[in-house]
Amino acid sequence: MDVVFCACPDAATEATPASAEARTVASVSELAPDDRVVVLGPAAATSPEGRALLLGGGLDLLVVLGAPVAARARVAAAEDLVSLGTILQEHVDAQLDPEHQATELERARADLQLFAYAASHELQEPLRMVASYTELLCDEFGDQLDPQARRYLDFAHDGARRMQRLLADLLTYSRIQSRGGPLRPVSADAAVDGALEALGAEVRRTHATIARAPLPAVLADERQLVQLFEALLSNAMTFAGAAPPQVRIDCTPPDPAQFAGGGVEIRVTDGGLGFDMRHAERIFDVFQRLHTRDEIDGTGMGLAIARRIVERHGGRISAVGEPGRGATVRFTLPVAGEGP
Amino acid sequence: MKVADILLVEDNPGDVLLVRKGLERARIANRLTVATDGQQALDILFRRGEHADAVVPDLVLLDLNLPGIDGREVLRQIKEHETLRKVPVVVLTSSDAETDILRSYELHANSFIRKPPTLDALQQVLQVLSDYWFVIVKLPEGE
Repeated sequence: MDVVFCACPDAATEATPASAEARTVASVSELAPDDRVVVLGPAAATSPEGRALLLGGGLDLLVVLGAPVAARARVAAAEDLVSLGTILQEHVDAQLDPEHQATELERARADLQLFAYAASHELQEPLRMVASYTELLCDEFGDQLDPQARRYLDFAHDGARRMQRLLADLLTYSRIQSRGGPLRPVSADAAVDGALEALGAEVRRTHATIARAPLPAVLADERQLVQLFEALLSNAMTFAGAAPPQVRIDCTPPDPAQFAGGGVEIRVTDGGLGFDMRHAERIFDVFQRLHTRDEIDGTGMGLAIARRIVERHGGRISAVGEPGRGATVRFTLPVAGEGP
Repeated sequence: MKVADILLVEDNPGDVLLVRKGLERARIANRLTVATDGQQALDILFRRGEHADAVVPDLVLLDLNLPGIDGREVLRQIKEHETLRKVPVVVLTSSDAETDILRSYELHANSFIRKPPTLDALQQVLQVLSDYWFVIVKLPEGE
């Protein structure tokens, strides 16, 4: 990566800082695609390309493009350019430092999480009113409405309820990092018990059979481990197809070729709808759905939540499936006693 | 079960109506008094001014975020008062911030409940509250 000075002619030569591997270009068109740091002087800045590059518009700006933080300052004279060039080079060096990048990434993630949390939390309030009052309207005035109006109202109410579920799942997702508890030795079997208790109604409704092999104690946040099994079991039951869900939970030492680092590999297998392996990665993304809402009514957050929990525990998660022949989600967790 | 005197401290008229509807649907015999801010709640509880004849409620449903004197201060004053402190106070709020939960219990709230997302859920919550505080629990007689 180069520090490129695309400066006004009289400043160009002097502006090149000795410490930087800087290239001086006469026009913006000479910029290389991997140039991330650009200093624009007044002359270049007035060119159409220069203007396009300026984030905030206006002249005499120093613009750092492509870096996570856009730094700007006034460039008054060549001397300023030299010192700014040094500062910039330090900035670039710092950005390239893996440790710094990790911190930046962590901070960006934290910001995003905070945003997701704030957004979903704040949106819940007005939505609670919409959901409650459409419910009240249906209950108290439903029989006075003509069928068409009643249908509109039902759509509005369903929409509000659905959005509530989406936001609730988004909140759960955003809290996996921010509100995680400490990792302690916990029984994975007890976590499955907890998940099945929470899913009791769904198990009864779908007449699901859950076959369980004994699982070891793992090093985990107990609440999140229950959440993880809940997400995976719920997923398995949701995508069961027409027949009652047949779900199997078992474990094995992880395949070193797939998962390095020891621990235990736990598998949740179902004989349900399965999926095309083309989507094996995508199904773990947020709000990803492979089926229409008419087919399956989910939020598309279950596996995203599962992945986030597994990754918080330092584990890996993946899925294999075949359309019409079921799917297996497998994940690794550190075993209690082995350390995280 | 006698008719329950409930004091609802809530500034959002939409929520006030929902609680009324919830109580009605849960068939809870009640006299509901509504205070729309913290000052009014304290005036009612401490029988000040025009509220000199107010009865001590059997239950307070308290929102935390109120204009002026907020719910936390109302809670503090109730729980610091020699006789009022026996009145069960259930915080009913849209907040689920850990700090609000902790602070409420530090101030001796009897329960902290997040406002339920639907009217059905609210009805169930009010039903449980009514069963618990008006039927199951034994509270001191009189004032």
